[in-house]
Amino acid sequence: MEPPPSTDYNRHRLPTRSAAAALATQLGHDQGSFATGSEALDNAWGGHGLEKGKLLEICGPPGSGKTAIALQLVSDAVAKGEKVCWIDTLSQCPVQRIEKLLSEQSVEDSASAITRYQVTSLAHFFALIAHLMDEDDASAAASLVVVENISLLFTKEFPPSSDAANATQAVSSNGVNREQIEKPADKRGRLIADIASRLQRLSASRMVAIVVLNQLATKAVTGGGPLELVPSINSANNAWSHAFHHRILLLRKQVLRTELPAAHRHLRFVFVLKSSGTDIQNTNLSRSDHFFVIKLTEAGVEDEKQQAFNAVTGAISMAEALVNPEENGYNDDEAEEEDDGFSDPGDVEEAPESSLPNDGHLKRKRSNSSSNGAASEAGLGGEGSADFETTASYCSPVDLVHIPEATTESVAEPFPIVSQARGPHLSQAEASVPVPEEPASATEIPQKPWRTIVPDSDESEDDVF
Amino acid sequence: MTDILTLLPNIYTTTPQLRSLLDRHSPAFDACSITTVDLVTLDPRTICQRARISLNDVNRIVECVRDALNSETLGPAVVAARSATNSSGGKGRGRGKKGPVVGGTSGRNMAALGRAQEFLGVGDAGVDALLSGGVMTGSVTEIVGESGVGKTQMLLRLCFAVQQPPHNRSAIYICTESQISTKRMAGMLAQLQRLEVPGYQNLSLDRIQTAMCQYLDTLEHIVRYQLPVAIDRFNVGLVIVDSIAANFRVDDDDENDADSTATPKPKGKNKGKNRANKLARRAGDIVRLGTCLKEMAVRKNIAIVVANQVSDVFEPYRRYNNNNTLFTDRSHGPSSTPGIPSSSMPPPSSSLDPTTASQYATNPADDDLLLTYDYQARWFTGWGDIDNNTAEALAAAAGKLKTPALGMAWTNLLDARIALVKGTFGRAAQSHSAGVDSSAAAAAGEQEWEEYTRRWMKVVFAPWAGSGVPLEYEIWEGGVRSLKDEGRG
Repeated sequence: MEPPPSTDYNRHRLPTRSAAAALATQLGHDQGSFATGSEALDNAWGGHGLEKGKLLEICGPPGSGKTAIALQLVSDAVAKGEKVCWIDTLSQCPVQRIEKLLSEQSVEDSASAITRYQVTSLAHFFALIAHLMDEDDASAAASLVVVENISLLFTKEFPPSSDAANATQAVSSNGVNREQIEKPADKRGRLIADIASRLQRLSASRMVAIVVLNQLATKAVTGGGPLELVPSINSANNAWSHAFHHRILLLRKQVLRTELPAAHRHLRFVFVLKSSGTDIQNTNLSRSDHFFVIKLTEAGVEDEKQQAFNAVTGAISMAEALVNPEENGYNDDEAEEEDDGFSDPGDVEEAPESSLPNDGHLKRKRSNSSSNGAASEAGLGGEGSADFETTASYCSPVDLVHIPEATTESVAEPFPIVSQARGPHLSQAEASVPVPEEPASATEIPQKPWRTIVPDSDESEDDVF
Repeated sequence: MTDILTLLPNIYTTTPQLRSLLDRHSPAFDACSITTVDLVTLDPRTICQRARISLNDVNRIVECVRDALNSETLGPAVVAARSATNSSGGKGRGRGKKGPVVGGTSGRNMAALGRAQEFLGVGDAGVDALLSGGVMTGSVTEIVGESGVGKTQMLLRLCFAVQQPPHNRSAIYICTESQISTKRMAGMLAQLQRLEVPGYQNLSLDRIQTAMCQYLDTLEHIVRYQLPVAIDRFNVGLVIVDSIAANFRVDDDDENDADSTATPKPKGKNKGKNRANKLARRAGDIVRLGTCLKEMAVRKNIAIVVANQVSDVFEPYRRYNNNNTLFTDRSHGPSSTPGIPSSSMPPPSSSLDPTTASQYATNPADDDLLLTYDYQARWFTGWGDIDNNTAEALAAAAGKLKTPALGMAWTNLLDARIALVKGTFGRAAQSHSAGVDSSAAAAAGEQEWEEYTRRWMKVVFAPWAGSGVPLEYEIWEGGVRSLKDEGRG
């Protein structure tokens, strides 16, 4: 029996096309992008919103507005007469909400422009993607594909802590070809990379904009400490994140009582992890140029008034600076210290006051002339030394950048990828900061530099649950 | 390959030719742990090498499985049109077909899904408006709150709501903690019939099937194997699990002592490792149960509503609120210390390690903690998110900082969460702070408050409803109903 002709579906080739023709099509497409309603968001994705042929990942905790942004893109696409493909995983998309959005844009016959698929397992999802690649008829000619909560599929396929059970099972089932048994963790990594590359191929070959929603998972930091939140789907070798052109993280933040025009519950803080193919590895959570604020209402997504918001962050920063004067003015991303707890004992001899083991405190103190800060630091010294013994046993919490070498005077870059992959606006700003101990210029907004988002952590050390 | 029958339960009826192939080769697939997802991702030649099966057979299996998967996702007609040789059933366009088995999954058109989605309301205008119509079918909704806040009352009301037109379906009520209160149910039925709510003639206790599961294994078995059958047989539109956390919480008891007596300094890696392992194992159980419920909700287009419990949060949140200018010491007495033991139940959420508190207490800045569970949790747990313009009474109640059981792994599986918050008012300030320190059970049970209780309902997150707006409500015999604004002094 001859093999079926479609078995090589996963080696789909890109159709060849002259570059001039490609350029002509690109230039000819005025409506090749989808807007969200928030200018800041659209700018983060290249100025006109999400362009066709690009992949976007939206991460965020529940209720942070992932679906809202996706719906906004969908309604914009439908309003522009494009076809949309919506892939639900283990949930149902609220049609009511789409219809409401579309009716506001006075689009008739709206929901029929959206093709919806429900996949209940990874196998279904892969089969569907293969189908979308294969399909030549008009029904698959969607120009926007939304994958809702892709992480649920992985959660279902690889429940937490199933590794041990599966491993013992595999060993017990007689080791004839044990070397060919794939460990669940490896398999997970392979499937993540596989999905990423397939989505990439789908978007490139069909000029489809793909939006993937990703949940957050908690990760235990070894030795205790607060649970960190990391994107639920990720891969150690960046196979996942490299596939996406844009990645954003939606968070919420406590805003002090101010004269904000919008209700607090509508505000979402958008952190751009990757923009137009450029990784922004160290997103400093307190720097106002590293995030922006959008407002999610029933009517959709819009920008929060920027000036009002800047005033607020300024106020917050000022308040924080007053509370922690020792942090004020320390402004260097290269020498990031994550936290008091994650200091490195090797830096102790660098410090003038070697009686205090916690170099995080020392460095901040050195960078600040305020005696007030010194006093409070001295008060903390006892506790710092008490904590030191335990915190030194932290084995490198995976989602924090730990750059002990950078605290020395050496120019050697311990993690070259951090500086190389940084966004252009950042690298320009930081190229002029040669030495970590350099006091910051007074014009900078006061910030605390040691907590950063590093979304692409090593999956293999994960305890995701 | 053992998972193919769970993924595609009727693959042998739709593609009968696969049966002989799989019967022959299943052991080989199992031996090298090739699952269904491998079939559609790996190169057939790789499979053929690993499992030592002829390439021909592998190709045929892969083809059949892929078509079967796609016929479930796309509807059989599409696949049948694509591969004419494949007799996957479904001659006509299967779009309008809404059988109970494939009803939720095969609708390709968004509009068709919209017609299938129903909303189960509680029959009160205010509450239903808050929920944008009610609880959506095809989703898993959690109702979380302290005991006595009205969770069961709301669940019971939903049991009758699903019987009312236009739904006209029945309900299944699974209890894990105590027997279902048929007396309350009968009382509510009488009340509803007296009020002549729409379709009251058909309301009946007969259309509420109940089951009792005291152990996690039982619950999982019932959910996985018996529930699908029962749903089809009784035309069920609503499945309720009253307290999903009960079965998980029992396992946590031995952690109680270790946690509460821990000094602010970490003891070492071992304990943390054990705890992490335990939590990971529990998370695995939660995820298996949760995904099972979710898949059922989607496939059968039913609403699944689970009740969940809360436990107290001590140190981490308290600090945030001291930072918040809205809060004064009135609602947070100074007596709360980091290591104070919870009286009845341990905080099941893994985030509550008291050892972390002191470490961060010196650094109240938010940005440090922005990406931690503790910080973000207040917006998806329902407690601790104090809007600037909320009434002070609500702020005091919601500021008591509970957290739903089962943590992030569970939260990620939910489609929607509705928090029920209650607060007791009218007492002097010192008893207030005492109420903060004792656990939820103690506050509700041991101490007899002579003053009234106020309750608020809040959509924490829901894909179909706006979140964050609290609504004051009260419990009555016929369910829950909203109160007018400023109803009480």
